[in-house]
Amino acid sequence: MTTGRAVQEVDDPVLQWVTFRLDDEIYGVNVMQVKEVLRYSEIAPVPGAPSFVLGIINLRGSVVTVIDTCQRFGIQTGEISDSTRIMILEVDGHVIGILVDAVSEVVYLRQSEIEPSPNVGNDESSKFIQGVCNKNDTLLILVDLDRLLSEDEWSDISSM
Amino acid sequence: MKEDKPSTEVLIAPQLAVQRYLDELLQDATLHVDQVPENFVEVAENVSLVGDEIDVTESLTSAEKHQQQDDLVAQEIESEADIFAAFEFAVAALENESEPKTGSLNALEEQEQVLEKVAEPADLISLPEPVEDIPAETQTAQIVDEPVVEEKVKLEDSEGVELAPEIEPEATLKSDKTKPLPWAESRFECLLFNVGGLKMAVPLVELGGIQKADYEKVTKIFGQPNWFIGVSSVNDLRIRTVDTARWVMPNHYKGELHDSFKFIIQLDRSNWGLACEDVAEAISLEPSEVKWRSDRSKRPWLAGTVINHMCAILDVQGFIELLDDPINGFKAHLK
Repeated sequence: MTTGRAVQEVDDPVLQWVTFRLDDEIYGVNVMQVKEVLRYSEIAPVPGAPSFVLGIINLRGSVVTVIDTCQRFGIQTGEISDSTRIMILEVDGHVIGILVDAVSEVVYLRQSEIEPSPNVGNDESSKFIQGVCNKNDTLLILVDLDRLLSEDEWSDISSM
Repeated sequence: MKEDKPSTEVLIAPQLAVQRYLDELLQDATLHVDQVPENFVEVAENVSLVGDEIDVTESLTSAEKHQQQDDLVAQEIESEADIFAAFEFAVAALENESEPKTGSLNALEEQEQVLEKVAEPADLISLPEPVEDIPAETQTAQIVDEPVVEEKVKLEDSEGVELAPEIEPEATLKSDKTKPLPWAESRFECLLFNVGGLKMAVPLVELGGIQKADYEKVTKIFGQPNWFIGVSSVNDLRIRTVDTARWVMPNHYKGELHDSFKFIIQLDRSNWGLACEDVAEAISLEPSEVKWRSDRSKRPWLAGTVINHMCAILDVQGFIELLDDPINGFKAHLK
């Protein structure tokens, strides 16, 4: 029994996803890439920064660049509210923040439950989607953070 | 109360768009009717081998005249602001055209008659005889230009009399091109549904299901083309929902089906669904009632049109293939 369960976990691992809301849709990012979640605080704009950069914040003495997630995904930008959060993520060794409408919960998903995304578009932003998954009658859109920024964009951010 | 006005305004634009679109579809369907004069020129040239040079020159000049006038008529139709007049013309043309196409038996009978006439040269002189039928033909085609139709009829008759062997290969080709799809070789049933004012029909044999849905319940996914509404969760299925009106008439449809769709028509067993505003009744059709598309490469999703019901019949498998193929599927419709 124990061996069987172990084999199943290897073949079909359970992954934890932090879910957040953007423009009435629920998205998920791998929990291993989430460092912390902050309440919204003033974001200082940076002159000459790429359009997808909202600005920078001071996180306990460290400067963290905050990405405009809505602009990156090509969806309507929401208003700042009490539930607005900045998720601090670690992607490819870089620490960035993303602005989201709300952070919901942590869900457990089996790899087999994740379905490929429709991907009918040739829009650049469609590559950010890792897949979709139905959880509690809600369809989660799972984001592939590793593709959120290209090498050039990472270097642009680093040189800010 | 205040919301009524915008909703009626919104309705008018899609309906006009749909009228234009259907008109275009029907004009497409009647293309080969317009091509007839070209054949007649060739036909008339070959006639000189048979004999009676006077008749030949007459038919040549009339063919040229007809071609010129036909071009003019085509231009007039294109610039015609009155959609309904153009539509009626298309219907009239379809009616004129429908006889030889309805059954291969009829075509064979006609060809046999033609061969008999070719065998009897005396009949060549009796060209004016079919002209007596003109009034019946022109009654339906008066909208455009009566003299043009008269000449067309004369030419058609001369073609039929002189050169049946020349027509035969063309007729064979046409019947192959316009062959009904496998599910429509005998009487079949279709479900009618409305999309942006356009009535569409999906064959019941390829209808996967009808799901109740609305825009709020569809998960929108960023980075997708504007015809892709999103993913709907239906039981264990994730239905990829298509803004049907935007897909089938990307250049005509200005409205927003997004806000008004209530049902999703699932295409066969695929995970593709077509958003529609309402589902109407099921109808039973004979294959001969459908004007089958001759060239499915332009609109692979369209199997044909039914004039009696003013609707477009979907080629479900063609539609699915188109949607599944990222290269042929979305690129042509992206703005």
